[in-house]
Amino acid sequence: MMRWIRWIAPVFVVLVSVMTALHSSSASAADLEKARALVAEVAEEGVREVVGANVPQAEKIARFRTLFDRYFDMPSISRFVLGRSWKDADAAQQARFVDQFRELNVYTWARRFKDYNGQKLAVTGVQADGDSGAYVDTVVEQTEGQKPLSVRWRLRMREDGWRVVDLIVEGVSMAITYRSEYSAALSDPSVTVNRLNDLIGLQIQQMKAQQPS
Amino acid sequence: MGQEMSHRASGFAAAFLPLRRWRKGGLRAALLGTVLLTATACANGDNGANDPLEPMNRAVYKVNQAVDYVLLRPLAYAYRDGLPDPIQERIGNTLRNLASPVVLANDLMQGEWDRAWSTFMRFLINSTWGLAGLHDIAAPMGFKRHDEDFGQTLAVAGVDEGPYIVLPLLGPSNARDAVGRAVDWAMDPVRILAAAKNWDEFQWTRTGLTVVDARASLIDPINEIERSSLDTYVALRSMYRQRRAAEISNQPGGYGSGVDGSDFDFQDPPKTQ
Repeated sequence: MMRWIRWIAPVFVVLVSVMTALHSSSASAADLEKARALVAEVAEEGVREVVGANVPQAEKIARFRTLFDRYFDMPSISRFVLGRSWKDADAAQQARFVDQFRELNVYTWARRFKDYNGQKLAVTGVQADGDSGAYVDTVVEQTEGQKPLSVRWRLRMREDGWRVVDLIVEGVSMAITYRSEYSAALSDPSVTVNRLNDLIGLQIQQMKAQQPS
Repeated sequence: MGQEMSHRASGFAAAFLPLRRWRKGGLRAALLGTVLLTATACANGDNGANDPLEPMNRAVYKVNQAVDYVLLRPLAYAYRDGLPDPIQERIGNTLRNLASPVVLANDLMQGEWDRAWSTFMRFLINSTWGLAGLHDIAAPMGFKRHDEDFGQTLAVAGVDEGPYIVLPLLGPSNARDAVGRAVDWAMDPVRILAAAKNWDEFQWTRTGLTVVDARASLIDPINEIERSSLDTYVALRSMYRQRRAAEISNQPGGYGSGVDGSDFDFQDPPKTQ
């Protein structure tokens, strides 16, 4: 009887550890599946509710802003693009930056709404990025004659699920490009976060003025 | 890991193999010169932007922008919007076919045998059944197009990018890629043949179409940068560096941007009002 237990105990331990490993890896596979689903959802909702919807541009912009806030982690992205200067800014400046950076993105994308002509986005793959991140690879059709763009979505796991933190278009990260731009601007001693906020405010005003109705 | 290292080493060795043939020419000197320049630039310390020549670069960038505005941009628009798509596609195919011997040489120097085979088959198939490159019939056969250049070969061999340089007329580059361009130009068998035969019209047409075709494909991205960027010079510098890193990794779509994902995680709560 005792001999039998001695033999079975290590097997049992191995079995349990294998099952734990399998369980944890299948859990992360489920998470990756959720990441893929989220990107597909953003694309589908973007087409149905925004670019493909038969509503005025102002309504499209409002809907897009809602979508953006829901799926993108704008506070984190804003902190990332501001880099070390985030800590130099006071709470009011930080809040203004987060708000304006989101508006800048909303209006940058809004200009492209009219270019939508049934182009499709296909999810081509998903992979883990460290412990609590994921990359979702997509291919976006372009207007005729141009080769499709590869767009990689970078996601981070937050308390209530995945959030998009970056789009890497043909190898170029939007977050890193913005960060380079802002850190270059802020390296000038006369440019504070406050001044940067003013400059971005001007950009937004210009873009609003150029918006088609 | 070990495999990667040996791959790197063979790429390194391969990158310098052709030097034996260049001993008489000035290319080796130019190459060494830039490697040294790169080394000195690195010794100057990393300032993030890696742009010690920024004032000069900005001046060149301004001139380039002016030339672009009056000449290149209008030509690119005429090419993109004026020519029927099938014709543009055939011009693009032909240009890429003419460039493929240089791609092949760089594939080989990097020890990328599969990609070299693909480039070789593309050149063979498209030059013959593809009617001198007019049609890319190799791609549907599984030999997909890719780009490769000597700047990337140097990068695979471990050469650092060196300081950012805006080249007159050619635009964003760096010390390593500028040398790469010169080497690609020097070793291009199509150019050497055409020069030997005095096919001047061919040379001018090829160069002109290459530039216009490239600019046409960049119309939308550049317009976008000009409209949404605070400082287009800085945006282009950042994008050029990222794009090159992605190209060097040989997986432009799958490149992870070189920043750790946790850089987007912030533990400390935001300041309260």
